[in-house]
This record gives sequence, C-alpha cells and structure tokens, in this order.
Amino acid sequence: MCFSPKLTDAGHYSFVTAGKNFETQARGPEFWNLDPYQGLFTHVKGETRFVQRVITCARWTPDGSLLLCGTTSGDVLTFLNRRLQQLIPTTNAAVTHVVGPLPNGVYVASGGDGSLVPFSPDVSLPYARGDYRTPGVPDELRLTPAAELMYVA
Amino acid sequence: MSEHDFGVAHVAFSHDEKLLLTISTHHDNGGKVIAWDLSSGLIVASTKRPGFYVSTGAQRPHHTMQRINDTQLLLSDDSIQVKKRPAPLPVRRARTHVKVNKCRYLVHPERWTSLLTSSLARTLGVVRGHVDTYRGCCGRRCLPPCASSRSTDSFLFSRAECRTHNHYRLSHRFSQHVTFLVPKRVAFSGAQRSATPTTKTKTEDAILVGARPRRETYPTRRCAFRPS
Repeated sequence: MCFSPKLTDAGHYSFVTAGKNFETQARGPEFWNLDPYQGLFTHVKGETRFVQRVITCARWTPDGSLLLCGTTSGDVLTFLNRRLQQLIPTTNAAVTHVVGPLPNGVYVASGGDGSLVPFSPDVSLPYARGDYRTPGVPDELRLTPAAELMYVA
Repeated sequence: MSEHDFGVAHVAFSHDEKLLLTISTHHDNGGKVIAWDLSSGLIVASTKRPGFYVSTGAQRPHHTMQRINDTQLLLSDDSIQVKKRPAPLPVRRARTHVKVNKCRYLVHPERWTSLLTSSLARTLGVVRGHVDTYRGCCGRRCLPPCASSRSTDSFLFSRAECRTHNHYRLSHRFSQHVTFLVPKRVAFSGAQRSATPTTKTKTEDAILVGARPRRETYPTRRCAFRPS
C-alpha cells in the first residue's frame, strides 16, 4: 500500500494496493481514489495485460506520475496512468524495497539475496549489478530527505 | 483500531500526513480498508473486501464505491472504465510457416541478440542462427538496432506470425514495429538431414528443427543488414 505524493485534480487522495491473491497467486496493483469529504472509495485494477507478477513493494515517483512496483521475480514494473509501461529486470531474487530517487535520478532496488541494484525507470536495462551487496536480506531501506545517504538495516 | 476485528496487514500515511490508511488481514471478512483522520482520530471512510486478500470466490466488482459505515450504497463510477481486451484476430497459418504458440515477452531491443541465444529463444520459437535480418514491418527501410524508436523503449515480443512474409514480429508497444526475419522451416528429407552440420551440440539440436535453411531461401528484396 502506497500513497501517491500528490492529490488528484478533484482534491482526492490516491493510493495503490498490491499483494498476493490466494487463488491466482498473482495480482496486479489496484489504484484507489479516496474522497475524504464524502468518505468514498473507488478502486480500479491496474492493467498488466499478460504480465503476472506478485508485487512485493511499491513506490511512486516524486511527481506522482509513475509507479514502481517490485516483484518476487526480481523485476520492477513501472505503471503510467494505471497501465504497465515497462518491466525492468533488476535483482536475481525478489525485490524487497525500492527507494529513490537519488540525486542523479536513479532508484535502488534491494533483492532478497542482499543485492542492491540501481536502476532508472526510464531505461529498461539495469545498471551494472553486483557492485553493492549486503551480507543479509535488507530489512529496511531508507533514504535521507536530501537523498545523500541511504540507510540499510 | 477497534474497527479491525483481526490483525492489521499494512498501514500507510498520506503525503500530507492528514490521513492514515490501514488494511486488515484476510481473516477480517476478506480484508478491510479504513481511512483515519489523524487530527481527530475518526474514521473517514472504510470499505470491506477490497479483493486483494480474497480467499473465497466471491469478489466485489471492480468499479464500486461504498459509503462510510457500510451502508451498502453502491454507486457506479462512470469516470473509470476498463476496456475489455479485444478478441484476438484469427490467424491463418500457412504450412510453410513455423507453428508457434501465443506468448509475449517484454524485452529490450538492444538485448535481442543475447535473448535469442538464451533459453528464452527456445520459448519464443526463434532459433539461434536463423534470425539473420530484420527490418521495420513496413518493409520500406532497414532499421539498425534501436533506430526505430528511443533506445529506452521496451518492446513487446509477439509470436504472431506474419502471413505475408515469413518472419516473426517484434512489435513496439505503441505504434512502431521491428521485425525479425526467420527463414522457413521446411520438411527436410533424409538426404537433407544428413547435410546438417554436425558441429551443433545436443542443446542446439534440441532447438533446431531440421537443417539450417540455406541463405538463398531468403527473398532477395529483404534487408541485407547483418547484426554482428
């Protein structure tokens, strides 16, 4: 579950939920719209077409236009206007966290094998992997507000 | 938190820190979403059974809005519509074409050579060494790798066959297309099979069907570009 960093044109909150469905074992994100004044929820499925992934984490870009979703297959899905835009292979294991952006516009995906893979949502190719690796699975991945430091727990 | 009869699966704050959103586990009637006002501690909105923790077959339709306190007032939202996927067009396959199953992959155009040499090539039905030329699907010009669009774009592999030409189609997600030309797989006779190069490994033999067609089988008007 991840809130969008901006309100909609109507002043509503928008957020996204994703997870694992017990029947299909894979379920795309659902985009929700919350009208706090009338107490109304609206949700619509994200369009993933043929791509079936179990989403583990989600993060919006700062402008709220792009949604980055880490999956158990190690790919990062990018959604633009509720539609799947790109599938970026990042880690060899399941993506546990996605943080960013760094000052150079790069996001970092942490894998279940402890790898930290930088990637850019504009390019469907990962950066050179294997440069950063933690001894264990990162339990938490945070950036400072100015994104000059990254904390790995 | 008394509204959640069971555990809370996840919480999230809004960007302005005015709202808190909580989702209960699937034990709580298939999941429940509650929005809390952080200034007053009151519930702003709630809904039940959103569908992402569903253990039963019954699911709420996609476009429903539910009032606070579960008044069962469901309104349809006209602003959000989901387009139904159109039915695929029937493809008439000629005998000389390779019969493949429907399968699509997202790949990057710069990686197509490595992809063709990987195990995905077998899945795609594209045989290593058989893909020698490619061009834009319009057939009017030759396109070097990534020249048809920005290099940052991803491409959509579709295994649909082209009935006019004998090639696979690598269609762009939006409008443009790049085409891999794949020679025909003919039903080789025994004599032709004996002419098959014996340098292939068992893996390649499992991939390849028959001998590699000769280059003369290509139409002469096709692109002469040979990727390295």
